[in-house]
Amino acid sequence: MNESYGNVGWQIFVYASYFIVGVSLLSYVIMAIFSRKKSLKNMYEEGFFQEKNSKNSSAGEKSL
Amino acid sequence: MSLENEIPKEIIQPIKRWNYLLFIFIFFQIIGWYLALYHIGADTDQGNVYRIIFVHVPVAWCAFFWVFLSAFFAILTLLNPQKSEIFDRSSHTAIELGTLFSVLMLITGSVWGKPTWGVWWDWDPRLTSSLVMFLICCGYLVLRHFTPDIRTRRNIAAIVSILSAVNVPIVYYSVNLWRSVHQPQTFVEKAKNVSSDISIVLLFNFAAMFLLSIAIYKIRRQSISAKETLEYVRGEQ
Repeated sequence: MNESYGNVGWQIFVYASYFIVGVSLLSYVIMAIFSRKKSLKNMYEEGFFQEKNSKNSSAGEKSL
Repeated sequence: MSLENEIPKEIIQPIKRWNYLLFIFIFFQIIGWYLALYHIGADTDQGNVYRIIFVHVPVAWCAFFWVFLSAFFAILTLLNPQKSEIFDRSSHTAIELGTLFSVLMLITGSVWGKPTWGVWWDWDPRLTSSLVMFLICCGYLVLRHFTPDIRTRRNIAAIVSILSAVNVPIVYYSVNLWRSVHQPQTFVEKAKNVSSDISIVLLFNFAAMFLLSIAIYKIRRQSISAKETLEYVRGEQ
């Protein structure tokens, strides 16, 4: 079916929708992964895990 | 030395598990989108532009679900002060996803509106109530960011989260409650509007998007938890 809307075909609307959703979700998950990695790195550098292992500290949750 | 070896197993294992699951669910979503774009036939009324339904409707349902789940955790935050830290993090993560899916619902709906209604936006009850839901979610995130006291922040955030969930049934039933240019709910009018092959592909896409959103939720939840635990240890909270 070759329907068109003004000067553009249906493809621009359909593919744009999928592209926007895909890129947004991917950007969000990449941001979450980097943020998690950065926090874990800071926790390690500040000795959180050593302290946690030795004292079995109750600060925060047992697992993330 | 890899950071992974230094982190306790109880923390690193769920991180790895959800990273693997994320890739599996992305694969399901790719299959769903392939079926929606290339496998299923065109609609008799709308032609090919109706294919936006396979991304717009799952995104809208996910928005409703995560906003509702945020309110559920918000109620638990208010009812259970001992575990309010954990429930608050879950509520915060869920509403972030609700905000993301709400804005995607508005964008994909707007893109669908242009070829079918001739306009990008109309102050129609469904569109307006969806915009209100999105703005309340944004309000939650702004309030949270600008409230320094942790206890006040949890309580205010929980109340705003519950308010945002109250709006969900209004959005859903707005097409029945008021005169609307938006089509009725897809599955209520199933017998008239949607053929079985469209229903199957739509449900597959919803399942894939829902599973993907769970993986994204878990990863973001781990991220928020790590950040807040670090702030707690540093004495910033």
